[in-house]
Amino acid sequence: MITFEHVSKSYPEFAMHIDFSISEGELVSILGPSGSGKTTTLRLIAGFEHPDGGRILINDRDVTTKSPAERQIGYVFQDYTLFPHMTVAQNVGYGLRVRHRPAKEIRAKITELLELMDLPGYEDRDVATLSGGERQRVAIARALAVDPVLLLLDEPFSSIDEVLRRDLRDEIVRLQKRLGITVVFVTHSQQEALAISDRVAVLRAGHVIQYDAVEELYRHPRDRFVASFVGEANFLEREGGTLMLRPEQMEFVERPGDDSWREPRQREAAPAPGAEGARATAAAVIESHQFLGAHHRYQCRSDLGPLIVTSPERYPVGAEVTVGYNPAEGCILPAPDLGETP
Amino acid sequence: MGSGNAVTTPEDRRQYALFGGLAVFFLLFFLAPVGTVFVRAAGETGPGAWWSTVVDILSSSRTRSVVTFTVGQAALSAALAVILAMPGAYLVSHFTFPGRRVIYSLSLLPFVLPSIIVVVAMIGFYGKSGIINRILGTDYNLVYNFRGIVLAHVFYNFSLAIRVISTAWTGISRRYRESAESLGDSAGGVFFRVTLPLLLPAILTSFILVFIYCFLSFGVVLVFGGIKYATFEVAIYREMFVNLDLPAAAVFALLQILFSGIFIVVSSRFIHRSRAEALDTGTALPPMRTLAAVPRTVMTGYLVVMVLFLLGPITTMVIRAFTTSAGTLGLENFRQLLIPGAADRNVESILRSSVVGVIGRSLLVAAASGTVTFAAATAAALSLRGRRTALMDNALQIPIGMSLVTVGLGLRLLWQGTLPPVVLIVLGQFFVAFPLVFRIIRSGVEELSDRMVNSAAILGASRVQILRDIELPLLRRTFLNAYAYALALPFADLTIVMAVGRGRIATFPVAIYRLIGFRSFDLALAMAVLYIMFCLILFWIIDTTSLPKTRPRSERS
Amino acid sequence: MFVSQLFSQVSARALRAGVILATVLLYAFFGVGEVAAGGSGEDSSGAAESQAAGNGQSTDELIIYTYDAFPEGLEKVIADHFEQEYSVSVTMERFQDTGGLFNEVMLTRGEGAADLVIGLDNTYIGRALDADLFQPTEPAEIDAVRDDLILDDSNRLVPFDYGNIVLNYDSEALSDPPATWEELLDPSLRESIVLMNPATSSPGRNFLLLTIHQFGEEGYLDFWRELEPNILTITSGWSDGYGLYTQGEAPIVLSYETSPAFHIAFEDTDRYKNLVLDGVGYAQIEVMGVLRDAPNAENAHRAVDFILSTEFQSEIPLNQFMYPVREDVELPESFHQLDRPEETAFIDVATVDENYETWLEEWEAVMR
Repeated sequence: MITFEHVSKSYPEFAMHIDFSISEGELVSILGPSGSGKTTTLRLIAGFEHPDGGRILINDRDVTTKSPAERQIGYVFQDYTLFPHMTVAQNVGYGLRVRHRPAKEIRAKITELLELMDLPGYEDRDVATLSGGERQRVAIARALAVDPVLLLLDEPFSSIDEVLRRDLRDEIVRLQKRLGITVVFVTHSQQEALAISDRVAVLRAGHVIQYDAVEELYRHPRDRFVASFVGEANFLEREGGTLMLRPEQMEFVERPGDDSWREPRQREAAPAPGAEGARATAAAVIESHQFLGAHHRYQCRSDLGPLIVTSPERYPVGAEVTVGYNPAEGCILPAPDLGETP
Repeated sequence: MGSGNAVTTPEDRRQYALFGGLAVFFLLFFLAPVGTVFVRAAGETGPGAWWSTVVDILSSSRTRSVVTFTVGQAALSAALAVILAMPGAYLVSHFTFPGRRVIYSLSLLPFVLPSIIVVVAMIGFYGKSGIINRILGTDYNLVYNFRGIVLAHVFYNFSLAIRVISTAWTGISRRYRESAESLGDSAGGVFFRVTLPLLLPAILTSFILVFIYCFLSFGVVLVFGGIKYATFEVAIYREMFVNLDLPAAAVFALLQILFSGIFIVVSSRFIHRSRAEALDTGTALPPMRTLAAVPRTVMTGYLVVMVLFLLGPITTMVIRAFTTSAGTLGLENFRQLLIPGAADRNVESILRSSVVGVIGRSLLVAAASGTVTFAAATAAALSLRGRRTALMDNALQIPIGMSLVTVGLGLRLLWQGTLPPVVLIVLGQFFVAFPLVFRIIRSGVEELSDRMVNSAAILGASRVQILRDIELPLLRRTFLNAYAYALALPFADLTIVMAVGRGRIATFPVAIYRLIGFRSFDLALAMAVLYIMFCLILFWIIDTTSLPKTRPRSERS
Repeated sequence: MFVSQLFSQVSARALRAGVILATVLLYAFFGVGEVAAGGSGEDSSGAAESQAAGNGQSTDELIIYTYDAFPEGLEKVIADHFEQEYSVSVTMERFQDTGGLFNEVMLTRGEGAADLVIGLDNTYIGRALDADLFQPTEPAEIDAVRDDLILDDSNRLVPFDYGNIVLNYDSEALSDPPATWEELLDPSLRESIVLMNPATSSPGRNFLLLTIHQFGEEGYLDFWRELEPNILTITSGWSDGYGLYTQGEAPIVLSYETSPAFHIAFEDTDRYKNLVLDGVGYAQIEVMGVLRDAPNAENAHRAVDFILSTEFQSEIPLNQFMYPVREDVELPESFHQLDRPEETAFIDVATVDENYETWLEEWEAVMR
């Protein structure tokens, strides 16, 4: 679908070098901290920017020097950029109009898309009167009107409130499955990336450092940067590398104020007792706590360093606890490079 | 330097072609003519002797006094113009009142008045027998000295400052002021700690613009400067046309362009740096309040300034134009001007054209120059979009500093015979208006979101379609504003028309100039009133279509 | 229909229509000749004509360079004469003031652009002769011209009118005008005089020469020092200064002795009068000359003859408001009402050329 072949681009601040490809029909997110080159990647695909070197292929066609207009791509900007001097219908129909399609066809397409986006009867509305969510849906409808081979979304949910954001996320997933279209979107929110993508490309300082399916990315991050950027992670230094464990892979095994051992909670993927790498423990003190609804999140100080542990139970801050975990569940990361620690 | 250099896209090629074209244009009709003058100057003395001329002129005390005076009066005039513009800018940007549009339109007027009319208006109002002295019963000498030059320059330019500052003031979000107020700042404190710093770029911009225009001042200084004061432009004129000393003229022309080049470069750094900080992109107009809410001090200040610097001089001139030889009000002067045979002296033979011919010719020349300038400035600004090329921006501002007399003479020396005079006038006037028109369009274009244009591009719109569907409608105000200047500056131009047309092509300013030369002073005033009428109609049309509506058409409102 | 589309289509159509209309109107207003070929004068100055003139053949054209203010009435007299007598068409090109005219002649020398120059004055005579711009003439009626006006023995530059530079005053603003140079320095006349810059204007230059003539090289600077408080301003050119005077900005102005005749003849008022101090004025002599490279030299020589004829000379007073160079021409009534200077001062051209720069520098040092 999209292939970046040794695509490079230099800026005063950093140099990009990208080499990866996205296959057809996937919903891919590009994730990274600000300044990592996410939006530039998207702009390179769209043709707003041109690389200094390398090639960009869309459906095996070299589009490196093609203008945006020649690429047949849908692009939804962060602030939607609806044309303020046009109505909803004029916005949605714009791409067809500049292609000189018959008026009848344009009207039919507008009606169809507004219905698809759950905006029936919005044709003559002034875009200034729309709510944030409505604007985004109009922007998506406008992008889809030209039957793009690819839909690009730049931080599509950043300026919408929490509730609406969830709805729109679902909406996009549904739309993508229904139309079978390839969707690439940029986000700095790992939650968002994990929630809706098939695959995630993690960008850092202009390089794709890992491109994988979401579960793989979560369970087997390539390095500390990815591990801590995608979800929360505990790093336990050992000989031969760092052991990475997610907070939910750790638990409190000793109840404060109670001498009796609490049975470890049965876990789906827990190895049988006595299997390779028996359960390990560490003494810790709870330093702070947050209630997150489904569970509690604790920050602890321990012999192994700072730890983050989640638990359904409520413990007081300052309690002395024992943290238990199974090293075999974790993931061994290569020793941290200097400069690669976030 | 956003785009790379390894891969050349069709868009890049289009830009190169455009810039190549523009560069060739500048080369053929600006650099080459000006170069011709310099070469000729060097040829008159021989290259070696020219160098000693240069040294002589640079080391003379006269040159030092020209430098001191030119810079000093420009700085003082610009400072006064900006300070006096503040109340007006505040009113126009915050309040609705009857006549707001008229005032807004009127505020462009002095800027496009030929200096000969400004001189006439200033004398009528401030002169020894002018209105002010008559009201006071005195005969103070207000104009025939340094004061007079500064007064005229303030009259000329303070309305430009109002425009620039009020536009910026309109754009400053009320939220800033409100948050400062909520933090307990007093009204005055908010102004000095919040509003003023945010306005600073606009204030600087207007200061620099006024400074440059005063720096290049010609007509006003020629009449009021007497023998004591001369700007570079006046010195160039004297050497070139009176002393017939082309080498000396060339030295002054070089000095002038050197100085203005420095100002342009320094100021562009200033403006660029401060602009980014102050522009609050996502804000709408603050709600307009009615006049009753205007603080009395502001209102009084505004009225005094308006009367002293705008309405007074212009009204005086208009009344005199309508005064008959018997001293009563009447249309005598206009009758003599417009009806052949109504005057003792044949107006057509003085003008060597009918008045209708003058009007038609002026409009056509202005339309031709204005359209060419506007198109070129638009093309340049659009292709520079999103690029911060200080070098390019500054290079395109250079014509502002070049003496018009020199450009006109150069065009004639180089192109006369090859191109008809009308075309040479259009070309010369192009360089009069281009720097300002380009600046207006460039800043407007930069404020239009890049994403807006990209949105259209990705939807398949061609460059032309984007211009037609997105940029023109969204930047209507900017474009109309720029077009107004593109039309008005050539309309008001006397220097190029005289230098190239040698008086054969009579436009409005030429006609006024000639009537005064033939001692038909009252007819000259009537002609000036006709000229002003045409300007006002033009600005009124443009301003009614471009003044901000109550609800801005912004998606973020 | 989308509004924006409508807007853009309309504007595109309007633009096209506008361009076509503008082109048509440009032709209509400027004439096909000017738009297409750049002025009528220059084109006719080709090699063919030059050769024709060199062979002494007749041509049917005469190109005259003059200044802007050269009266239309006089142009018509010349044009009619040449049309009737020789079927020659006269083209008159005007270049701002005398300085502009001289500049134009200098810039186009050797191009054969014009035949006759009318309107240089004594300010430019030295430079014009130095630059060898003009050819000698032998005017038929040169003997009728006042002897003291002839500045060049070979008649390369021939006088055609003259006037005296004097001060003028507004009798409504000044009931008791000064009669002597001494009285001009009276403190009651503070900021009352408009003069012209001797560096930039002929009257200004001639007035400076008049003061040198009156007070000598030793005394003129002292006079100017004392005069300074009474000067309102010193303008670049005569029309600026005279405009200030007629607007009532100052009661005394430097001008020509014939200026009041203009107001008598055209405005029917004798409010403006001459102020001839101690009976002296300074001569300003206007000259004409046939250019060395004139393509229609024969016609130019004919024109010089004609301009010195009584027919033309008698037209000068009321058209040009100067005196004819012949004494046998009758002056009109309005000229007899003037206070005329009893004496016309004149420093010879050679002395002026030699010293003027020094005088001017000294003067500037005092006045600046």
